[in-house]
Amino acid sequence: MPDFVQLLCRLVDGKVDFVLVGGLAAATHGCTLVTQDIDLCVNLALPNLERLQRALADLHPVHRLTPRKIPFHHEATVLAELKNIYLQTDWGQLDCLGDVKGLGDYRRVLTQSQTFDLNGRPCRILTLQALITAKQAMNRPRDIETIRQLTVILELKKSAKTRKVIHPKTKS
Amino acid sequence: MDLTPLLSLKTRRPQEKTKLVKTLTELTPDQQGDIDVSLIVENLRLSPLQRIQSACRAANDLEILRLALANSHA
Repeated sequence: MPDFVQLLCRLVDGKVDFVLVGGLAAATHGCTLVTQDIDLCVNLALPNLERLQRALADLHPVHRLTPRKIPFHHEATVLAELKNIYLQTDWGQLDCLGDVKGLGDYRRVLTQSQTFDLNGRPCRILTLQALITAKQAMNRPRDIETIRQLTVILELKKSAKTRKVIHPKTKS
Repeated sequence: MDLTPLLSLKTRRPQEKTKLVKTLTELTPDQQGDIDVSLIVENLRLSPLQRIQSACRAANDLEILRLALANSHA
């Protein structure tokens, strides 16, 4: 069964460089849509992918889109070739993307991110505006409702009245 | 789509759960109707961590339903 919090904590504790994107990022910003996986934009540099592999090692990670569910356990030469990594772990599905459509690669995504408190850990997440930009670039039918909700949230956050009810722990 | 129906899944009968899974997975955004702003505002009162925990509970509920459906078709 998915355990999004524990999985993210594991990655932060493992010093994996990532930014939370996709449906869970939308949910973290306040969107009410259901998501079943964690989408991350990750730094594809080899040391970071090695940290990712170490962090997940005991969670039986496999490449879930491969017919034989190949284990996510590779030598450096193989890791260095990986771009987008779609994993199934004991704690849920994890999609690690090298870039985000509409935004760019990890370095660009990082500049459009902010941190939030994840059980005492700083966790990076796309800003609300960047997430809307990314969803608009994707423009899939399922993104339309997300964009609508995120736009409402953006407007709510802009209003002085609503600023009082929004939790203050998200920092730029 | 709001999470309210999902949160009460355990009280629903199997055929209703089947219908709800279809609702969750097949309806287009246009079919989902207007946004429930009050639900979003309520969600914004939570911390980011609490929102992730809430999303995780919803994902777990959906996974339970998918497994139940898979077993019922087996």
